[in-house]
Amino acid sequence: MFWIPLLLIIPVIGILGLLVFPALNAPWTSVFVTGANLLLVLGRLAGLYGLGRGSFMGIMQLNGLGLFITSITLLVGFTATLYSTHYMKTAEFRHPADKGRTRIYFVLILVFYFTLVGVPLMENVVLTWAFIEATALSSVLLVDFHRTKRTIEAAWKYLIIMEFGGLCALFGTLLLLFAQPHQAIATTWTELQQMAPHISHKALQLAFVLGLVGYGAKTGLTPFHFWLPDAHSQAPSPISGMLSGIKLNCAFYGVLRFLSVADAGGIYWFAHAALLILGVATVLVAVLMMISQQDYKRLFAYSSAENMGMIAIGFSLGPIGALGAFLQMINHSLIKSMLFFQSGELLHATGTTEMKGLRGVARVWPWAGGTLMLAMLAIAGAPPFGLFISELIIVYALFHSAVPVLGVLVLLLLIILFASFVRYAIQIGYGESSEHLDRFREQYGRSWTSAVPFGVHIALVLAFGLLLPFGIAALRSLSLL
Amino acid sequence: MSLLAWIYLLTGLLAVYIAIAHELRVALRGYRLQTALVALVYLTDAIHYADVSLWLALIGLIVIRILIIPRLIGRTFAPADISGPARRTLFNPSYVIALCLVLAAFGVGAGSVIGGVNGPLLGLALATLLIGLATIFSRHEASLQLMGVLTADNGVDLLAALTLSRIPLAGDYAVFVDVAIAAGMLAFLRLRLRSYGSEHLDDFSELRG
Repeated sequence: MFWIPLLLIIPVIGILGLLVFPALNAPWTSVFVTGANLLLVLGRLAGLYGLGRGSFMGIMQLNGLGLFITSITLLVGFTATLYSTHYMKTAEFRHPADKGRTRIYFVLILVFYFTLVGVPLMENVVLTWAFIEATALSSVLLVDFHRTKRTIEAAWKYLIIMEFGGLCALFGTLLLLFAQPHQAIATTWTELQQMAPHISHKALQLAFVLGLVGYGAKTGLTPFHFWLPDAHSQAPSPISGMLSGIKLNCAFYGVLRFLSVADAGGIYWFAHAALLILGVATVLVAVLMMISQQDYKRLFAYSSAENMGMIAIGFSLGPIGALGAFLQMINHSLIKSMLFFQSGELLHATGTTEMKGLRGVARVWPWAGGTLMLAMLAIAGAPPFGLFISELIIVYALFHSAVPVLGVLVLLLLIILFASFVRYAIQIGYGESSEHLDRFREQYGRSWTSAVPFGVHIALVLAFGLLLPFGIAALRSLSLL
Repeated sequence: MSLLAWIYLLTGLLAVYIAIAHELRVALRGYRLQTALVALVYLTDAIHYADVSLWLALIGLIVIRILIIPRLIGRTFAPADISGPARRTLFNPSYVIALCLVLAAFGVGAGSVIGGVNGPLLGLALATLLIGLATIFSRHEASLQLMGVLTADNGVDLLAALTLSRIPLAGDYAVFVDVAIAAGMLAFLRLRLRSYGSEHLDDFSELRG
């Protein structure tokens, strides 16, 4: 399967090109690299290279789950890079301190992208861990890109939690290898699933808990969610979009891999109950934190934690829940990255992430304000957007799985969340606009590179809401259902 | 008790030593000793199995963990930082020792329950990991949090030593390189914190809510 290693080789060529040839246009080289990768995976989805399970020399493999995560990664990676071309141009204009750092930014974004693409491709358990760990290491300098006291505070907290999670997950991974009864052991995920019934339940339980805590911390599950609003609010907006839309998925991929081994090993109830409890706790904490936010980027970051909680709940509930969780993953990635892109527009236009500074933006600046409000409604779970369907399926699965009390609790929390987002959207969109908002608007220029990512994302989210049967058919063809 | 078990026990005790250290200099000394003990475990494995990949893993451990990382920390930390006492402590050392004992008991207990010939060794490795993680959260100085990360990583290495003959060399090196980059990043970020006049994390609390 020639195309699987190409997914990693193309970004490496791009990174080396930017480092070796100063004449190369950094923004458009990055767009070209991510675009080429996207075309490659679209070719696979269209069946150009056959529809079988892709594998390369036993090191890399792309099964249905891997292809699913990779497709999201490549799409959001491409739109984030495209949006970055506009974002960095404006950033240089608005923040003189960032002048001349565009090249560094695009090198870093490609390194981050490379690690994200690598996660679902690795078949070896230790290499999967290494790539998930590398996603954190490669993004920490991007979190601190604006080099202020706040960004370094966020970056430190981010890296410490990532290391904490990484060490727990690595211990859990090694424990899965240690606990195997034979000398010739399974070191790939596929082999490990086959070997799992021979591993003692106690060892599997401990390994699963460590894996869940480790990758859960990287995903932003409670009680290790506190890095998330800090890192997402301080990173440049396209990076916030990638962190929320892709990196959280890649970390959750680690949880799913552990879950598949736990299921095969016969600790289904233990693993699913643990995931369900953590998911509900995350939704509870995130929704409560969202009620009184004043900073819109932090609000969106807490919403990411809430969505990860919903995804955890979904995957803990069997096939129906898993379907909802897969849909939630796609919808969240598309909507949240779009929201962060829009927040970047508004941040550059107004110079603030405070919601009160945006008051009246939809009236004064219909394009940016209107699209932000639309995206906020989408992430709140309003129909006809895709998130409404996925949340509905997860809640249905909660009731269907004979946990009606939790179903009622989660439903209540989702209603509170919806009301909060609508309130914030109205607050932001309407009311008396401040003088500085008018002034900034006059200075601010629009670009197709900011409009296209929004258009692509909103179209896909609407499609997932309105054309779900076709979406399910597509998932079936990828052997995900 | 076998020689290997004594080495594991000493590594765990050194984790407690690092957890209660008030000065970075003291914590660094403990870390160097601890990593030397981990290297000793790797050495016994390499001799026992007479496998080239295990010797390469040992070389990787010595070069990256014993030579590069302490040197990196030594270079990025001024002598005054290394010898100066920590400004404030979050917990009294007695409480930290009590916490370490609880974590050690949990780790060893879990290791014994999982069983097998190497159950107690697994338990000590888990205890070292947990004490390292507790050090991260019980300290508010950036440099001592970094020492907590490195201690916890030594706990992971103790378990890795038990599976060394079973995992591919590429996986082993991927872990070493990842940890070296993480330590480098943390040392660099700590320098950035210092550029604002402090490395005490209480002085960095503008992000709220």
